[in-house]
Amino acid sequence: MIEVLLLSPLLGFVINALFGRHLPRNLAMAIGCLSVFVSFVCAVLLGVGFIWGGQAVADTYFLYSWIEAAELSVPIEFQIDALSACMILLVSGVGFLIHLFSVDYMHEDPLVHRYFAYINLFIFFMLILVLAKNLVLLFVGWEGVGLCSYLLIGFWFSDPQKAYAGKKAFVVNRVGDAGLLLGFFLLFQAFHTLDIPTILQRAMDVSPTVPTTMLTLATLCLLLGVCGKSAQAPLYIWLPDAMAGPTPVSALIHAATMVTAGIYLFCRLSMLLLLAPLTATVLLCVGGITTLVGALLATAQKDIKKVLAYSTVSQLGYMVMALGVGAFTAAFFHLLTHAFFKALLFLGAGAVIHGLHHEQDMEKMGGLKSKMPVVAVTMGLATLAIAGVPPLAGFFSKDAILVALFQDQLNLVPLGLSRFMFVLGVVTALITAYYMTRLFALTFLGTYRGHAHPHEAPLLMKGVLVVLAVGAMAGGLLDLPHGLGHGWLSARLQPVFQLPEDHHALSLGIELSLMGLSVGAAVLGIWFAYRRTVLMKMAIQDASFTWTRVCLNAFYVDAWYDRLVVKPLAALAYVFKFLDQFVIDGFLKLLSVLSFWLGDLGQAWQSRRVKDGIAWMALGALLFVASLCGMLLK
Amino acid sequence: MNVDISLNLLLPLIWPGLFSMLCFVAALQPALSALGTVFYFVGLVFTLHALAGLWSLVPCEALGSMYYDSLFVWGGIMLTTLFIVIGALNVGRMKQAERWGLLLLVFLGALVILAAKDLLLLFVALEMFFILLVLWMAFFEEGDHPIYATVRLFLTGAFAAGFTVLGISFLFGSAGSLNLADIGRQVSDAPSFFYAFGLLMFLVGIFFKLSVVPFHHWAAEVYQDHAYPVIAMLAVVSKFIGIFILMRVFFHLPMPRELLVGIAALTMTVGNVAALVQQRVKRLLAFSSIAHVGFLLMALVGGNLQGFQAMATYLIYYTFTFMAIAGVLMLFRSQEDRIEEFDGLSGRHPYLALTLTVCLLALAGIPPTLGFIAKWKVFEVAYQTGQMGLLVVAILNSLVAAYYYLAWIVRMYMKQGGTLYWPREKGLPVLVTTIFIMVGLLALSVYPEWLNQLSSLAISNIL
Repeated sequence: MIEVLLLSPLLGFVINALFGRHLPRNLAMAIGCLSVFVSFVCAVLLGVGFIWGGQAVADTYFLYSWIEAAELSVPIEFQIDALSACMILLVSGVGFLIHLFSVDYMHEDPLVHRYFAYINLFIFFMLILVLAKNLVLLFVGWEGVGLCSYLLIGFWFSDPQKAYAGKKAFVVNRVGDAGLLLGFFLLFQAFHTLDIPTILQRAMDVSPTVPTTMLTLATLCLLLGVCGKSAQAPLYIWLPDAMAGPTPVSALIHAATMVTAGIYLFCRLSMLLLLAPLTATVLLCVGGITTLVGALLATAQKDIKKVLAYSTVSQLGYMVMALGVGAFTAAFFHLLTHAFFKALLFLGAGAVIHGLHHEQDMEKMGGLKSKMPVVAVTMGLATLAIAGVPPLAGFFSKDAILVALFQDQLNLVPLGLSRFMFVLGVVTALITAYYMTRLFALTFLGTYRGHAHPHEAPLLMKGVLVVLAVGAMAGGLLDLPHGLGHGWLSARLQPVFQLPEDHHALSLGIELSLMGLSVGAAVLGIWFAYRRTVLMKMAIQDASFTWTRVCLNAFYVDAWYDRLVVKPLAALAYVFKFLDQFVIDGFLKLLSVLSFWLGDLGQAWQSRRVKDGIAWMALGALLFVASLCGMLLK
Repeated sequence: MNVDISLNLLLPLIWPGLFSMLCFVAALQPALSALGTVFYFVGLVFTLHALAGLWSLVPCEALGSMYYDSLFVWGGIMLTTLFIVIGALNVGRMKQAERWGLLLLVFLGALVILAAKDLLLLFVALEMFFILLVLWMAFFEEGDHPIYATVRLFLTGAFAAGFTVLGISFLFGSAGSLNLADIGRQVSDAPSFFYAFGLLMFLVGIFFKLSVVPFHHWAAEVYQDHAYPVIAMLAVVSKFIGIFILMRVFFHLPMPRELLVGIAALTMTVGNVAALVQQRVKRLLAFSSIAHVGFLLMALVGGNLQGFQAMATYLIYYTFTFMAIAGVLMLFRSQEDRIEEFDGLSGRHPYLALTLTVCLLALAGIPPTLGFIAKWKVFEVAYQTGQMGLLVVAILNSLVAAYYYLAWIVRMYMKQGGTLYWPREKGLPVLVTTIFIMVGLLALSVYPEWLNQLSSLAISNIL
């Protein structure tokens, strides 16, 4: 079963990559979609025991041993528990929907078979990532999705700007991945194994053999990797540029699945985080800064996809904050609901872009609600969901995070800090409601400002949007807060995280007032945006307005990186260039000159005459005898 | 002794002999000559079946001078598979039935070598293999000067055989027996000068077969003048047998380790640096195959069972990769056999270029091909047995080797203007065989479990 789950998208990739250009376009697209659908069916069958049955013990699937060298043992081995069951369902389910959406979105592209090949490969690697039982296999998936992300961001590589965006994502992620690798090395050093359950078990031992400093160092390195992949400060800068890729790719890779890999990693290694409070504190701060910066930057963007990109950065910041206070369930809950409403937002934006013939500037939109009603309604629902309006999905998951920040049950971080982050979370919720309403109003309300002739999305696109809208509406039911009923997801994830039961749950009064606070923030934000954009008709702020200019330039972070990181590194690179050219290349050149020289010598040895061959053989035999005599004399 | 069992023991030898005779009979009538191909493959499949049937009987001795142990059965199955591949590469190329008959007899000679425990039997089988091989080679008309190359191989081979027989006679003189195990028991007490001299002379003959430096001179010349099927035969089967003899011999006799280390380092270095400057494809392949023998010797030097296992892995990898590359190259129509002709091949024949690329990456030892795993295992053995100097030489050699293999790939993908092309009207069996091998090589590297099982079977029960 698990073989089919994994091999089906891989097979789709192989077929489309090798023979796609000879296949009819519809067949290539059908293969791409079908392979993921098969995966989805397998994921349902595999996950049913955990999701519905409430199975607590993880299933492990040992396929075969892969690398065996002394202490290092890396089998091809997978495990499914509630956490990975949710993830494979998400990846294959949402992945399948986005494949369907792509059929309409990409049908005119001449390289559509290549697109489906890449995106199938992405599904394969993402499944490897979430199913891996050891860290090396997880890393294979981690790098694999990074590769697919690079390939898909630069999918239209003939545009140098898009190719550059792909390169930027790749390079920035490399910084993070270096940290991740270092973290894995340190964990291996500390635990002498790379098997994840064994590491967690040894970490939880009553008599710890691994010093806390070691764990802190290792988790801090992992944190760097998470910052890269999950677009956290200071490495979030690649994600807005990643919007150069086709929009369904942004929905799948840069919103719903790949960028959440970092959150998944820390959920998977949750016990390590609990033993390293310093890392948790850093995590909380990183998440807090990212969520605020992302939300602020989203307020003044012109490009519809850029708003969503910064919004993703900001929402990922929420999840990271939740990780920082040890609220893994809340983080994962938000990951799930976010996957639905953010995928929906991106696909809705995709439908708009598609309908406007690849126009992404919101200045040239407006009044589209009459032209594309289905898109408008579903997008509206998603906007309310992300803004945190009850009873939509985003309300419950965001509320869970805010409650966790307020409560800080595990006391991992200083109390004042978690309270401060709570306030920051509420403020960000307000800003979120503002920029999302602004996006919706600029796109769908008012009068049409563009010149293209908008048309409603095709049937398949609409279908996908509606299915995702149902998810965005009902996703909150997965984990209702204590005051309102049963925490279903929390119960399922309890065996994975093994956190102590909620002893001092908040009283209903405090919980309701917290909810009221977040709803109030959402309503305030929505009203403020509505007033500015619709009532006051301040469509897009003038670029001369300082705030807008600063936001459009992303707070000049890229420029500062250029000045503070890239330039000094470039200067350092000159030193290495020197070393490289004269020392390393010198050695290699010496080796190559020597090799070629020896080769020429060997050529001279060679001749066409038969007797020369025999002469060399005789000489060799003589040498043997001579060496024998030499040994005898000794 | 039960008659039934002894017939089972003889069957692997009876089938190739019987079917080769049938091939020669079929050669009488031109109308029947197509039957030669059929008899060849049927004979090999029967042999394969008979060999597989031996698993339950090993280890035992047959006819007083043959070892039937796991090494023999493993080697026999490998050899039969290799001959099936060689046959597949020659379908449609070898029209006359007698050529198929000869090839079966070459196979029979090779099979006996794998089991010989007696030096006399070993020598007879070796000569049977060699002389029939030369006869088989003489039928080919492709290549620059096939007859000249055949005669060259025959002359130098005859010279080398002289060394072998000289060595055997000295070994007999010093130990009073031709049986390897007996010699081993005699020697372990006090190796004499005559024993050492005999062993070295014997090795000269075997080293010639392996084209170990400095006995490698013939390889490049013969390859350059001859056809690809012959090259595959010489580079794969001849080396397989040579290495197998060394495995057998050094399982019983003490190993002159310093000599082998020196020879291995010399062979891989000369092979690789000479390959670096070659302009002709066949010569490049010749030196590349010489370099690979150096790596095989490196595994042999390990001397322990793990070394044998690494060598078994390397043999599986090298023999099949080389068969595949010979297969791809044999498809093309080339004017001058120059490496420039490959420029821009990916534009003309993308799938063939891809196949060739996979083979070249495998030869260079780059993951995800089997070459990486095989090389890694050999390095591991060298590390564990403390051959650090040899390990450093081997790693530098891998670097040099990567250069000329990758340069070839660069030619195919990044340069323009070559003239090589594939005349599509022929070569379907070759193409299918090649792709089959290539997929196998990739699959085994992702799933090395089979490989480990396969190579550990070889050493599970050695006599």
